[in-house]
Amino acid sequence: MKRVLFSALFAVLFSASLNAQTIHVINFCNTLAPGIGCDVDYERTTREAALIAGFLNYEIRYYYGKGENCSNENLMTTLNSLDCEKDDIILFYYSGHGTRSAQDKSEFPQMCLKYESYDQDKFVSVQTVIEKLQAKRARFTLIMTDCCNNTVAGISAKSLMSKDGGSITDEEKIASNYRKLFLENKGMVAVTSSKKGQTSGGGPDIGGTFSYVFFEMALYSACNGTIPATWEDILETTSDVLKSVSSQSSKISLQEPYYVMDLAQNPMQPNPSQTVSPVIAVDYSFANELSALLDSAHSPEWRLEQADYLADKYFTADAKVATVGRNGSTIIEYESARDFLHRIAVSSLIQRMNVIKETTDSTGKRNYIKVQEIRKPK
Amino acid sequence: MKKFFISLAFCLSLAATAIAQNVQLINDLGIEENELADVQERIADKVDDFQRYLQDLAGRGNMSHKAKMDVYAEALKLFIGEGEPYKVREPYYNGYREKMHDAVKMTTINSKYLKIRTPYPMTEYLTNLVKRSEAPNYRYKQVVIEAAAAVRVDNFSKVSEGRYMATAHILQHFIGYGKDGTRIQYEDYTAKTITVYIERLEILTPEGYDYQWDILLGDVDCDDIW
Repeated sequence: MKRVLFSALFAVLFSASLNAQTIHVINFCNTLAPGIGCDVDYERTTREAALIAGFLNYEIRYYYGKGENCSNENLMTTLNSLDCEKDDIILFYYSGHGTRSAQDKSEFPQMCLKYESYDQDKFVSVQTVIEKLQAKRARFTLIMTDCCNNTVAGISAKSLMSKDGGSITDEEKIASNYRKLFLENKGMVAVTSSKKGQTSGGGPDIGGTFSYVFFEMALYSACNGTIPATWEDILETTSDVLKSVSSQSSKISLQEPYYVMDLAQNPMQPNPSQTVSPVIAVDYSFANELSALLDSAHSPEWRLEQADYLADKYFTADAKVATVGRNGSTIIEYESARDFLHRIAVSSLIQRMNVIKETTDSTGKRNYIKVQEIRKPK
Repeated sequence: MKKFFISLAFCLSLAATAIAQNVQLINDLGIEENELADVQERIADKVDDFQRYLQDLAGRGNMSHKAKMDVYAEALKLFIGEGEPYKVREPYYNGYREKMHDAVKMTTINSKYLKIRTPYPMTEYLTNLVKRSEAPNYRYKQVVIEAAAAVRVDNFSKVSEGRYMATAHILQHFIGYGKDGTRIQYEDYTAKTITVYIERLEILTPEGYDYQWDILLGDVDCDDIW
């Protein structure tokens, strides 16, 4: 039986030392909802967050809520427990169903999470997320929700404080643009996929249309220098493309993202002493041990012994590892877990390993992981 | 309340008019542009790995013999046939035929003074690197083999359906330090050309059928030394 890991071991997460600037990625996707591509959104956000962290040289911490774990309790626990330093970055992402009540004052919708309408008391308003995350005083907070924002009869307004419950030259240019966006601004950008009264489009191939356009077109273009690397340009581009898509079709209704920005130009001073964990964590114990394989402070002999140990400890005998390229989908290596671990233990050119997907069998061991290598600068 | 479906094709067709750079174009090779970029980058990664392995194998006192043998094994995995004779597919009348090819070779030029070219089977070349580095009378106390320029990949061509070849060019800097470990006893730059084999293989992953770009290095030729 396959089981996708949910690593909400908060005690473990928070006991880990914060020795580097961190991007906190809160990725909640209702992957139980059929036909709207939340699983695509989930993977894309995990991947994009890894790229952002890589280019900013930030450590990354994931707080996952997918499938059954896309719950009010997990979300509120995450929001309440989140502990961040002043130069940290928060990326909050939600993909799933959304709605609003006629009484809602906020322009942002309510997130249905994994619930149906009869469980609407468990919906969480995006405004609650905004307020809770603003209070964390991170350097920069990006809040993105890809869900409908239309009024549905019978949905009641939610209190703003909802009930608490218990991932080359061109490279330098791209990195520079990521820094411009995330490190030269201080404050918050909150954006939802549609304005009040509008629905949001999406499908199993591309996930949410808004997320697709935001990440794979607007952010991509800003980081590659095709459009200016500013949040205004990214959001305007996203809006223009979405409007263009929706206005040219008689089958879909108009969709325009709604956003608020509270930003001040405040370039961060570089911190030369920053140390960056070479691994993006999905499961901390696994991540920490995997990171050691890439750490040149350990001898080659130790790393090779560790590779065999990790193969036995974390992987099934027939486990496979797919390494994907920069675009996150092209598989450029497909090998046994043991071969993978030996390869990375011997290599001294890999800086970071982004685990972007993993599945386990009934014993809890991984039978498949998908990774992305971040190489050391040449 | 429900999100509604928009087909990938529809979204892409409209997106193309807005921002052309991100559209997955199919080029003359039948490879999507973004995949081609990933494949080319991976070729460069593999060549970088190879150069790093050479330095590890030629290094003196940097790791145990056992660790060097692991590096040796990883280095051979970069090559088609892993150092053994291998099959290649070549055009034959109106179709293709498979033909056995000699094990991958590394052609070297012995020094910038004598310039004698010698092809060695890759296994022999790598074994000799290790042996020399561990010999008590080795002329260098330390050897550095480093990339002197970024890997360049060109001549990307289609061989048959799903099979491609390319050429990688590297500029390698060899430095041999004398007995005191600080004085450079010998130094040269070599321009090398590496044949690259690329194959699109169908694989069955726990997520279903997918395909993998299998990238393997071939013969390494030494173009010039100075």
